[in-house]
This record gives sequence, C-alpha cells and structure tokens, in this order.
Amino acid sequence: MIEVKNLSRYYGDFCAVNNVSFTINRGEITGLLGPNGAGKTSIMRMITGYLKATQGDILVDDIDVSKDPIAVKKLIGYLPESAPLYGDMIVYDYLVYAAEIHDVKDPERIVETAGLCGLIPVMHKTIDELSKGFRQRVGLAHAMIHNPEILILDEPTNGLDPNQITEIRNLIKEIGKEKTVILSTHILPEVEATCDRVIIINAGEIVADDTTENIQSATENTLSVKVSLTGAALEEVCDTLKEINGVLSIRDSFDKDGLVSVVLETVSSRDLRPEVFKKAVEKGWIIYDLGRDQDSLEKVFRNLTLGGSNE
Amino acid sequence: MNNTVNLLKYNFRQTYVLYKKELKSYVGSPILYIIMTVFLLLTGVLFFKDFYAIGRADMRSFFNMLPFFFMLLIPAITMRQIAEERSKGTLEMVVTMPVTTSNIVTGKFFASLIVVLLMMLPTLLYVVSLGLAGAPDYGMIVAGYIGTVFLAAAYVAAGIFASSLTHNQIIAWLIATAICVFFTMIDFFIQYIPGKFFAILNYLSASFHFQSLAKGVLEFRDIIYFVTVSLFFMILSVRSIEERR
Repeated sequence: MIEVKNLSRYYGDFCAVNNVSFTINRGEITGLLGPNGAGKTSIMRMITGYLKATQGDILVDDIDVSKDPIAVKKLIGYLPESAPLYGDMIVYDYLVYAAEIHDVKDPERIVETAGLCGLIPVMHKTIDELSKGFRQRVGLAHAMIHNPEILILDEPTNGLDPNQITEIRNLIKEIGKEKTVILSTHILPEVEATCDRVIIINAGEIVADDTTENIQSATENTLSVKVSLTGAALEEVCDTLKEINGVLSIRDSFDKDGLVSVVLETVSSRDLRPEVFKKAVEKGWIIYDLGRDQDSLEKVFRNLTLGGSNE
Repeated sequence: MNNTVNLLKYNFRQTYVLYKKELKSYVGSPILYIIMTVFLLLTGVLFFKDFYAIGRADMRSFFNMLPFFFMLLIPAITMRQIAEERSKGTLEMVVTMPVTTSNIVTGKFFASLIVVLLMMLPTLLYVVSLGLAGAPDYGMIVAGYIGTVFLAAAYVAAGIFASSLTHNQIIAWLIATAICVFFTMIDFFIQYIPGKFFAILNYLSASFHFQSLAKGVLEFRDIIYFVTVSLFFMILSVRSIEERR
C-alpha cells in the first residue's frame, strides 16, 4: 500500500507538485494521467526516493521513504522515463548486475524475468545495439528482477511502435493481477486499456481521482453519438439531425467522398441512436456507422486540464 | 544526520557489486588504454633519460614527477564516473536501487583507484631494468609505490567529487585538474609568502606529503593527510549527489 500525504515539491520557486494526497491499495493498477510537465515524474521520483519531497510524507507499506529509503527501495521496482541504461553492457550482464544489487540469488530468476519481458533473443547483445522497444523491456526487466510488490513505471510505452505497445500493456496487465502498479502516461487510451484507477494531474495538483469507469461516466451528462452515412449532403444531414429532440450540438462533421460523418452531443438521459436510425430510414440514407463515441475520458481530461472553461 | 544513518547501514556487499560493475566498464573502455599509453610514454621517456644519460640507478625523478602526471591523468580517468551517469540518466536507476549514496561513491572510488594502480603496473619494468643494471635501494622504491597508492587515492577522490558536480565530462576534468593542481603545486608558492605560513602550505601540499612518504619515511602524519583528503572529497561527493537531484 502506498500512502502519499500532502506532498509538495518545489524546484526553486517553481511548484511542480502542490499538496498532493492519495492512497493506492495492493493489487491496483493506477494510472497517473496528465499533460507533459504536470508533475507525474516528480511524484514518482519522490515515491522511489530519487527526489526529496519539499513537504509531506510518503509511506510505502507503512515505511516512511525519508526515514528508511533502502527498505522502501527493496519493495519497489522502478522504470524511469525513457529507461536509462548502461549502453556498453551486454543485456545478460546488466540483468546479472541488477540481480546482484537486489541480492537475488536464484540464477533462474534472471532467465525467468528475461523470458517474461521477451529478452531471450537479445541476451548477448550490447544495450546500445538494441531498438527502443527492447531497451524499454530491459528497463522493465530491471524493475521486475527482484519480484517487487510495487512496480512504478514512468511512461512505459513511450516511443514504442503499436505492436510493442500492445505487448507491454498486456505484460503490465498480467503483472497487475498480483502486484501494485503505478504507471504514468499522457496517452488516454493507455489508461482506459490498462488501469483500474486514474489519478489525473494538472499543474502539480490532482484534478480527479477515481476508478476508470466512474471517471468515464462522470462526464456523461452529455453523451456523444457518432454516425457515418451516405445518401445526402453534409448540410442536409446536419439540419435533419438537429431536429431530433435531445440533440444539443453537432461537431466534427465532415464529408469524405460522399461519406458524411458527424458527432452529435446529446443529453445523457436518453439514448438517441434509435431516433437517428429512424430518421435515416425515413430519408433513405444508408448508415455505415452508428455508435457512442468512446472518447469520454479524453473529454474529462480536456475539461479538467484546460481549466474547465467549457463547464 | 542523513550521512550518519548511511554510514551505520553501510553494506559492503552492495559496494562490491557496484565496484565490480565499474571496473568492468573501465576495462571495456578505450579511454583507459589511451591514458595508460600516454602515461607509459611520458614516464618512460623520463625514466630512461635518467637511466642512460645520468646513469643513476634509482627512481627519484620518476617519483618526483609522478604528482604532475597524476594531476592531469587521474582526472581523465575519473571524469566520466558520475557526470556520465547524470547525463545519461542512469544515476536515477542506481539511486533508486537499494544502495546508499556512500555505496555508489565508494564503489566508484575503489574501481578508479584500482585502474590507476593497474596503470602503474607496467612501471615495475623500470624496477626490473634497475635491478639488472645496478643495485637500487629497493626499500626506497617500495616506499615510493606505497606513497603512490595514497597519492592516487586522494586524487581519485577529488576527481570523483568533480565528476559529481556536473553532467559534462570536460567540465568534470577541468574542475578535478584544478583541484589536483592546487594540491600538487601549492608548495611552489612558499617563496612568495611570509615564513610563518610555510607550515600551512606544506601541510596542504600533496607533493610534500608524497615526497616525504617516497623518501622511505612512513610517517603517520602523511598517511593521515591522504586519508583525510580522500575522505573529505568522498563525503563531499555523497553530499553533492544527494543535494543535486
């Protein structure tokens, strides 16, 4: 369990983290979400003992990070942003080194961790020769070598290609079944795909802290319906759909080679998809796509981090 | 207070693991071999000049010049130690593992010291040449090598401290060289200052203490001097790593 109480961090006069408090329970995958420079990395660095807190306390399994950093570091596996590694070392040597530092005696553990992170084919390559994806995995293996109870991953999928991102996410979900995982990201789908819980941070402060579903539904006092169809011009579609009772506004409308797409902002109390369908049938339009728009978390994020000016 | 806590919890195994890693990374780096070659060329010229031209069977001029070589070469050996970890971000990896800052600094210190001593190893050939050519005073030579270990320790500690201040290796080299030049050459200024300060300048001078050890007088105060200087810079390094992050 990780308890962060009234945590603040200043760099000179600049306040990077301002009076942040949260508790993370065992077995949760928590996403720290926020734009670049929001203070995610600073918070993680303070939990891992790399940065000193200006104010506030951090307790990991009831151990105070500032009082017994070594005990806390033993509990945590940490992947810093962009996985800094010794480029001149061979992957295998690096893992042996990490294992020795953590006093991992079982040589099987190195092979096991390498297997879990998909490193077996590159075990005898120098780290400098590796692609970004493999380097990230070496960093992850480093964080996991001592089988820690808590994993802290700073932008674990940063700079990876889509296949690698999926692999790493699956790996994190797999680990998250038994361990506590905190990951930071500025990518929304990542949180939706992997996290049980989201803490949204902006300008050093927590602006939202809840389960992923709750945060998604919290914004659903408006609901977006996306529809793509053919058989009419863009203006005609907009004018017709606006007449449906409950449609508040229309956005992101465009016409691509006759395929008209629009997003309807509607009241959340009623699902308007049947009415849209009926209208289309009535006018003889052919529907290609009709669905609820999935970007609700993105909307929360936009609202919260832009100072909620739309509210 | 933090330092005392760290000292109490000092874990030699962790230092050993870090030391081993640093030593391996030195052995794999070309810089080391370049520095070793430069060192051998310089000292070789100096040694054989005396050997043939003057026909003296001792290593006095070699040990006389040693602080001057060390003040330039040791900073080149130590400059990357912490500066490189800062610039590559690996310091964050090391610091967040279950090791103390003292473990990190001492691991690097001993690895660099061993490298300097490895650099000294081929100079034993000079001793062999002397032995073949005449009858040198082996006691003096052994004393010279013992003094070398202490001198190297002090300069390595200063070099690591300089490296902990910056993420730029060139700046680390310049700072370390400045510190080592100070300790090597401070007694040169004796002629410009009032007599009552002689003792202070001499006491500060690494060359003075080194020459005193190399003369074969194993005096406690010289050893204390080098141990103090080494510890002073190592503690400063620990502080500088802990504060500047």
